[in-house]
Amino acid sequence: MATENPAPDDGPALDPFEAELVAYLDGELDPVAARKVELRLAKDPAARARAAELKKSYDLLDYLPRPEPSPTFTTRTLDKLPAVKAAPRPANATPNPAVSTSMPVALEPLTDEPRPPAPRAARPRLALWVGAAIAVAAFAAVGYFATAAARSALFPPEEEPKIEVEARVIENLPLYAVADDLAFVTALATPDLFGEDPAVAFDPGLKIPPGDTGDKPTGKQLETLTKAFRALPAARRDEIVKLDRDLHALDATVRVRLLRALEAYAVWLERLPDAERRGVLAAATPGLRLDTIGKVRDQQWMAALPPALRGKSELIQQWRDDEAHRRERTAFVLRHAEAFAANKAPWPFDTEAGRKEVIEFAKHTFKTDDPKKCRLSTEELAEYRRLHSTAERENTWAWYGLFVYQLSARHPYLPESDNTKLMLAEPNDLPESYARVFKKKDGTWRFKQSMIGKWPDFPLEVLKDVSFLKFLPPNPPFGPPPLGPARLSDFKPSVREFATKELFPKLSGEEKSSLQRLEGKWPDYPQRFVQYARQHDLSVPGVTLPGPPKKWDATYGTRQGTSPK
Amino acid sequence: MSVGHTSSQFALRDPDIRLMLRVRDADDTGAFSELVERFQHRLVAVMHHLVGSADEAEDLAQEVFLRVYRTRKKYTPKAKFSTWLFTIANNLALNALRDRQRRPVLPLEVRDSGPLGPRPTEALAPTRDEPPTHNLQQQELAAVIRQALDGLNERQRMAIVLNKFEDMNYADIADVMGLSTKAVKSLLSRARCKLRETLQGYIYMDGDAPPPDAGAASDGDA
Repeated sequence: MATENPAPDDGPALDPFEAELVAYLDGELDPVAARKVELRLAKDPAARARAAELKKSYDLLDYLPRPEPSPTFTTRTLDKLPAVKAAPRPANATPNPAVSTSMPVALEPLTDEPRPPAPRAARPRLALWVGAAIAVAAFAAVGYFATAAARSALFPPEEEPKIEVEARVIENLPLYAVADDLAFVTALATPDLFGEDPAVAFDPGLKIPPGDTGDKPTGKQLETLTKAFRALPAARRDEIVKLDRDLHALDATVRVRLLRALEAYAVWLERLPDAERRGVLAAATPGLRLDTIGKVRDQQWMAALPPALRGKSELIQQWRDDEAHRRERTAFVLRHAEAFAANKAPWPFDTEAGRKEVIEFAKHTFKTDDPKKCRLSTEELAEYRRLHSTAERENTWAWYGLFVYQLSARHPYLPESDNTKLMLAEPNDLPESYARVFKKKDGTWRFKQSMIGKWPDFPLEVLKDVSFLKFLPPNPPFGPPPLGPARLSDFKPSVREFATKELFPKLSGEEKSSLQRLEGKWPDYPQRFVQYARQHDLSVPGVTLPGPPKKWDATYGTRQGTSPK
Repeated sequence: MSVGHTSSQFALRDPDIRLMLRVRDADDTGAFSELVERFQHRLVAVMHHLVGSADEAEDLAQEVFLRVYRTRKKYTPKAKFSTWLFTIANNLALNALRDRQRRPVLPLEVRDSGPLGPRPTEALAPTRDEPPTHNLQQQELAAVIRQALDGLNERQRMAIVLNKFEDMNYADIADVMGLSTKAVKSLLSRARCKLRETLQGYIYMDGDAPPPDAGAASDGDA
C-alpha cells in the first residue's frame, strides 16, 4: 500500500538538486546519479556549501540526549501481558511461570502440600539459612536450550558418588538457585559487583579449609531443601549439578572466593525491592541479567552518595577511573608476584636481545629521541623515560613493559614507506585539494600545532574532518592521492617480506580479498593489514610490539584476554 | 512449527524472527521477554525522539510490545523482524501525535513544575556541577535541536528519526511507513532542508570555521 505522494503539509516543492544532494549524502544514489552530484559539487562552491550545511545540521542531532528505558521496563511490560491460554508445554515444565526460560526465576516458599500453580503475581521470596522459612526455587524449564535430554548427553557420567554430590548441592541450594552457570558466578565475583577487592583480599599465606563456607542447614531445613531440589525440573537440576561440579573442579581458594560473591549476591537480591528483583530474575540471558544487576548496583551506589556529590558526574567518573586503574595495577602485580619476589624480569625482558628489541621498537614508533616528531605527550614521555631508566638501574622491566604495552595501544603505528613523500606530516606537503580546505584566509592552517610533524597522527587528523572530505571526489584519478602508503608495494622491504612469507600464507581467501579491496585507501589498507596480523598472532616488523601479540596480552593485558583500549 | 518456504528462509537468517515464531506458535513468554530486552532500547529511544517525553515514550513503547503480543497469531515473517516492529511503532506513534495535535496537552517539565516555579535546588544544581558555559551550551543546544525536530510534521519527523537513529535506509523506511522509496526520498529531503534552515545559526558554533567557500556563497546571496 505504498503511497506515492507525500501529504500536502510536507511543504512547498523542492529544488530537485537538493533532493539529489540529500540522497547522495545518505548514500542512496546509484553510481550514475552519484557521479552527477559529485561533478556538480566539484565545480560549484555554492553547492558544496549547501552540502556542508545539510551534513552539519544533521550531525547536530547527535547532541540530543540518548534516552534509555528504565530498568524495570521489561518486567512492567511482561506484567501487562494478557493471560496466556493453555498451550502445549514440555512435560517437565512447572506450571505458569512469569518468564519461561531455563534461568533462575521466581522463588517461592515450599510446603508439604501439593503445590498449586503459582499465581503470576505471587511475591517471590528468598531466605538463606537464616530465618524460619526456607524458601525454595521454582524453575521453569521451557527455555530453548534447556532440554534434559540434550544436557545429559553433554555431561559425562558422574565421577563422584551421587549421594555426596547431591548433599553438597542441597546445602548450597539457596545460592545455586539464583545463579546461572560458572561464567555468571565468575562475573559476579568481579570487584565492580560482589567480588572482593584483590588489593585487600589477597593474602597468599591464608589457608582456607576446603568446603567451609558457613553454617550448614540441618534437620527440618535440610529436609525442605531436599524436597525443593527434587521438585525441580530435571533440566534445571542438571544445570545446578553442573554448576556445583564446575565450582568444585576449581582450586579451593578460587571456589571460596566465588561462593562468597554468590552469597553476597543472594543476600543483596533478597533485600532488593520486588520490582527490581523481578527485573534481575526475568532477564532472558545471563549476560542481560548481569547488565541489569550492574545498572541497579550503579543506581544504589549513586543514591548512597552524599547529596552534595550526586551531580558531580565528572568527579565521580574520575574516582572510578582511579579506582579501576589501581585495581588493574594490583592485578598486574598479583599475576607477576613470584617474578617480582625473585626480582626476575618477565618476558620479553628476560633476555638481553628481547630488551633491546622493545627499546628499539619504542624509540622507533614513538620517536622518543626526536622532540619534533615525538608522538607521546610531554607527560607520557617523562613517564617513559623515568620507567626506562629505573628499569635499567633496578631491573624493574615489568613496569616498563606494561607502560610500553599501554602506549602502543594508545598510539598505534602503521607501516612506513621508503618513499618519504608518502609519509606526509607537514601541512605544506598536503595535496592541493586538502590544502584548500584546511588553509585559512590569512595563510595559516586550521591544525593544532601539536599534530604537525607527527606521523601517522598528522594525516589521520586531516582525515578526521569527514564533513569536508565528503565533498572531495573519492580517489584518484578524480580525487586526491592517499595520504600514506596504501598498498604493499609502498611498504618498506621488511614489511613486504613479512607479508609474503608470514602473513599472506595464513590469510583466508575472504581476508585476502577484503584486503585487496582496500588497496590504495589510506589508512584503511594498512590498518586492516595490521589487524589481520594481530588476529593471526603475528607482529608486524617496526609497526607492532616485537613478539606474538597474544603473549603480550597474556603478560601485560590488565584484564584477562583483553588488551587495553 | 509450520513455516512456509520464504518465511523459513527469513527465519533462518534472523534470530529475532525465530524468537517471534516461538511467541506465535507456543505463546512462549520467555522468547517474548527476550524480544523486549533486545528491542526496548531502540524502541524507547525512537519514541522519545518522536514525542519528546520520556514517560510518554515508555508508554508508547510498551503499547507497541503489547500489540506485538496481542497480534502474534497473525504474524508472518516477511521481512526483518525489526521492520515489522517499527511498522507497528509507526502507526501507534503517528496516531498518538495526531491525537495530541487535536487535544494539545501542556508539557509538564521540571522547570515549571508548580505554582512556585522551579525549586531552588533544581534551578541551581545543573550550573553548579559542571562549568556553567559548557552545561548551558549543551542544554541550550539540545533544546534548540529538539525544537527544530518538533518543527517538522510528524511524518517527516518519523522518517528523520528512523534514518538518523535507527540507521534505516530509504527502502526500509518505505516499508515501515507504507510509502514508496521515491516518496521517502522527497519526505526526507524536505525534512533535511527544513532542519538546515532552522539550525543554520548553530551549525558552526563549535569553534570551527565554515568551509572555505561557504562565506563566498552567502556573500553572493546577500
